[in-house]
Amino acid sequence: MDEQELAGTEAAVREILISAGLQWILDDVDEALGAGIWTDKPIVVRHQSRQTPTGEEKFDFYEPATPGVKGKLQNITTNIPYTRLQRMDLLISALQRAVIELPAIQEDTLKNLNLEGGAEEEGHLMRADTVSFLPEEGVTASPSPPPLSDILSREATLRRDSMVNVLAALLEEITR
Amino acid sequence: MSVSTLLAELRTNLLAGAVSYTSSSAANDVYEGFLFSLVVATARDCRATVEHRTVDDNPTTNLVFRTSPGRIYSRAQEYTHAHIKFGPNVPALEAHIGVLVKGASGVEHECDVLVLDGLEADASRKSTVSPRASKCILAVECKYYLSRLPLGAARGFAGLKRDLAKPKLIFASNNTSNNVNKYLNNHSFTTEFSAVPGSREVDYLRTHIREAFKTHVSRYDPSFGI
Repeated sequence: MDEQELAGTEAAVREILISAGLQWILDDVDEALGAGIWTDKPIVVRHQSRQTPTGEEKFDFYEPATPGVKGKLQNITTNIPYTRLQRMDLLISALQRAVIELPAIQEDTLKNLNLEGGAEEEGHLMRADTVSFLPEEGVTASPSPPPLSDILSREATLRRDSMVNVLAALLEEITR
Repeated sequence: MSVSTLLAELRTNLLAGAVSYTSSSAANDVYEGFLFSLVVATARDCRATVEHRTVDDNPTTNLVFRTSPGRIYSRAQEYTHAHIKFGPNVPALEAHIGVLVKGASGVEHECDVLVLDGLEADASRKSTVSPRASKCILAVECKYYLSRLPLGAARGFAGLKRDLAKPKLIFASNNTSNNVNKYLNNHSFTTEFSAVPGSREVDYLRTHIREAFKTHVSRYDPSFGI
């Protein structure tokens, strides 16, 4: 895909997410996009001085460490913007986490809370039938996670499987 | 398949609810629940007896956790905690999600997952005060992000460490970031990134949790092997 196609695809995915009430996914991605990609950049440190009305003032300035430039090398950390392709990759990866990772975490939580003792030397764990999240009364309710039964329903599982395939195919298309 | 077809399928799936989580806070709640379950499972594996109890100390199999920071003595909902007992000679512990703890400065801080002395927890509930950090053995800061882990999350944790000196503090995240990793490890904080089900980082996390239990148990009953 060229830059224009990538930009168009990103805009389309964003619009779909907003329509589906998933602005929070975009907020998460946008925070990462705003921070940029942190990278170490080699520079050459130069020492200079100049005369001022109050006397001699010493200062340092930096030059890019290009081939042939001599001097004391130092690494500085800077950030660079994401490319169009990296932006799409970030967006699709975020969606993959929301679709695959979160339900897996929820499912694993209930498994951990219901481990059955096998070995004699292990302790005893009281079972947990349900796990729910509720706001304190009087506190503006933030949306709670869905119940595990919803996550594990056949319909939800089929939708997730379909999403996994769509996202994988989209990732393949954008890198063509 | 063409991109337009894929986008149409994406729209159909998402509008039908393929992503069941409607906010970043809901996602973080799920992750806190996961870390809580690791604490509980590790306690069981270390030969503890673990019971889930309500704020009135009644056993229950229906776990209820907070969606925002709250007080250990709150009766707003039937919030539950895990009661953890390592043998008859070791004082009981409790594991909670999202309770406020009083730091060395006197300021209260939310601990995403907290393990504290059972007597302190009990006294705090009876006196309707927050427990003291000096009576806590473990606090886990849980950070769930879909994209990249921001540096601000690490800076917040560093601040927490200054005021909660006593408990073992662990920074756990599903995600990673070179900057966050560099910053926290430069200051010798205990961290585990990419800690999700099936990852080796979860095993490492459980080792850290076990170390906190070991320190507590060995103070009272060195013969109790965990």
